[in-house]
Amino acid sequence: MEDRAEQDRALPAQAAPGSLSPVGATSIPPAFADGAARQLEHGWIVASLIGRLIVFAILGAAAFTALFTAFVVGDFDRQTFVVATASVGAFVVLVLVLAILWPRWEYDRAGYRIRPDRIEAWSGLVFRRSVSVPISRVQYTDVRQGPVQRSNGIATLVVHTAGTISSSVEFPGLPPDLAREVRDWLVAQTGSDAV
Amino acid sequence: MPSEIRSTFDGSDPRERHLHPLSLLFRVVRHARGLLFPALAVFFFSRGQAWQIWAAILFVPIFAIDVFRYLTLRWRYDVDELVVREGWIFRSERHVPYARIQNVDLKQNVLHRALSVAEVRIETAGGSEPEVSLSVVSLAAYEELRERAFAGRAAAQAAAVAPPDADATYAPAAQPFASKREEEPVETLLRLSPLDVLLLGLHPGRGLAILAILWGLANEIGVLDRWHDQLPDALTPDGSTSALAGVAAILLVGGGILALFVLSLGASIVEFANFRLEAQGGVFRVRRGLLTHEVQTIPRGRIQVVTVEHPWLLGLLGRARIHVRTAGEDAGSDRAHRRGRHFAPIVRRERVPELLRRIRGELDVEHVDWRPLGRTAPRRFVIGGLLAAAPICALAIVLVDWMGVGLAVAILVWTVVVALRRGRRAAWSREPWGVVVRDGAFSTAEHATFVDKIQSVDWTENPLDRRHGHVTLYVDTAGAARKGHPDVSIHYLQRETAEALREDLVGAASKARFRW
Repeated sequence: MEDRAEQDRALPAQAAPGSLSPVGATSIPPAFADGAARQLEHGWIVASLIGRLIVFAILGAAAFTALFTAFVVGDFDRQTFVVATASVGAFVVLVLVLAILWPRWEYDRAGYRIRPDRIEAWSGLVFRRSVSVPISRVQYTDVRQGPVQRSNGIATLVVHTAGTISSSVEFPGLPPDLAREVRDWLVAQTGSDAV
Repeated sequence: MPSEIRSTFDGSDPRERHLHPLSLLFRVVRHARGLLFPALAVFFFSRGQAWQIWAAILFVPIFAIDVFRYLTLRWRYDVDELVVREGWIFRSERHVPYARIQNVDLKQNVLHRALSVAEVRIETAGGSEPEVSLSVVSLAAYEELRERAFAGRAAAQAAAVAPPDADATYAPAAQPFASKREEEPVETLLRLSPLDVLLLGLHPGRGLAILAILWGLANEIGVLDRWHDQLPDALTPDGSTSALAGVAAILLVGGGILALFVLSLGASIVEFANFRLEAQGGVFRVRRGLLTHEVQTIPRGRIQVVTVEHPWLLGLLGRARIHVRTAGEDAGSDRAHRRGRHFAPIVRRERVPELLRRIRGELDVEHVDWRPLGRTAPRRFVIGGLLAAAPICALAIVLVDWMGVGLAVAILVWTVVVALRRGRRAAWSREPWGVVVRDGAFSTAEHATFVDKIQSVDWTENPLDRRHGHVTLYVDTAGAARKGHPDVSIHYLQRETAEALREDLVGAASKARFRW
């Protein structure tokens, strides 16, 4: 995926598709000129995994702390203790395995598409969700990058609209320079749209 | 371009306005209510000794803050914005461009009315809190504020390039200040008759209440007694004593329901008496209230979603109701705004098309080529309904024995009936001006929004949806809605249909310019 993006950027800027947009100040970043669906960067899997493991570590520690506190304070026999620890342990291991596999599975189902008149994103494994924002409705844009994302070479593009349920739409797992390029393009598109 | 407009519209006025001196009184009254319990506590615990000190510690700072706020809050009208200044050490200066003002609302309770002052709230598109809240100002100050705000807004709109496909009905709103000054005629679009106000008290949910009252009446006349005598003894094992107790219970319940019903009628009168919907230029004004007067100003172009509701009881009486949603209102917090702003709380069916045309010339939800959902949708509604009803049924069976089983069966049957009807009646249509959806089983509603108001189009899909090839499509606008449930949403739409509709809507929205 990354290779393809690099190739596209090496090509001379294509002008035509931008003129389709109603404001049409500058053209769409050449990497997205084909309007095809794109997968997130591979770095997203690792970043997502790290995030999940941190949450897992905190919750897991809390679960075992609660378990041991209960046995210290309460008066249980040895057998109960072993059974409870084993079942909590098995559950924790199951959650750990899921936490490790989940980002990989989710990666295959997540993606985005940037077209001259709209930007779209979709994600979710069990509960799926897809958002489509007309370019002319973009109020403003952010590029967000936390430490984990930075070390994995990804950034999140956040698009804000005047809407209510989708007033901010996140596009995670973009290459940082491409995210900035899209942001600059969106700013150029919406800048002339005085309300 | 803007400089030309400014020369014709010089509504700026450097003089600063203050709140009405009575503001102090109202602030003190408001705080006095909050301080009632602390005050009582002080009174009882200090037992006369040094209560003045306690009062000073508790109340003086609060009233000092009130006085301070009153003295420091002031506003002025700049060329294209309202400037509100507040504070002394920590100063705030808020600039509210006229072009961003959504509504100017007025509220007057009995005390306000006696003293001819009012509370004014100015809402802008962003956020849920009103941008500026002035409590209290004189009525003249409110009129000035309203006039200047909307004249400034019109001038700002005229300065912006008009969209090529602009509807002719927008023209009045886009006139510059100069012509706005020649008082445009006020046209009353709707008044409620006393009968209508009473009918509003017959909330659909209270249809049951009426039934109960009839039951109570029948009981009074003695119809039930005769019927009761014919009931098998199994139901009344103790004979006559339990029959008497039963009658007493029925009377009690009937009386309670009757009281509720009277209360509901009273509430309806308090809320909707003196209701008037007016149009002046590009602005609607909604007035209502018996004791507390409320005036809401809704610029026509700012209406994001229009809802026509047909509650079954009002439907039987040939009436419907219309709500509108504007940007910048917080639907979640205020119960009155849950369904949007009242536009026509009760109106004869045949007048609905005309009122809708006043909102937008092309808006029509009657002559619509409704497209039903797919064949599998009713089944999906049934599954969803049964899943939601299952816990209640389980609870009923566990808690109430064999009677519970009957109750559970009744609930399940009712759920299926409602779900099937809802699934069959749900429909949508893509109209030249936007999109309209229909929902509801017995009480139905049509929700419409416009291409130029669409902010994004989303869909969600859960595992059950996936099995049926469905998605739920949401059309998001700047008009607030219940969290996660925008008015314009289509449940259980075939995925391919949803994709095609979204492709179409987003494309059209992208070409149409969004105006707040």
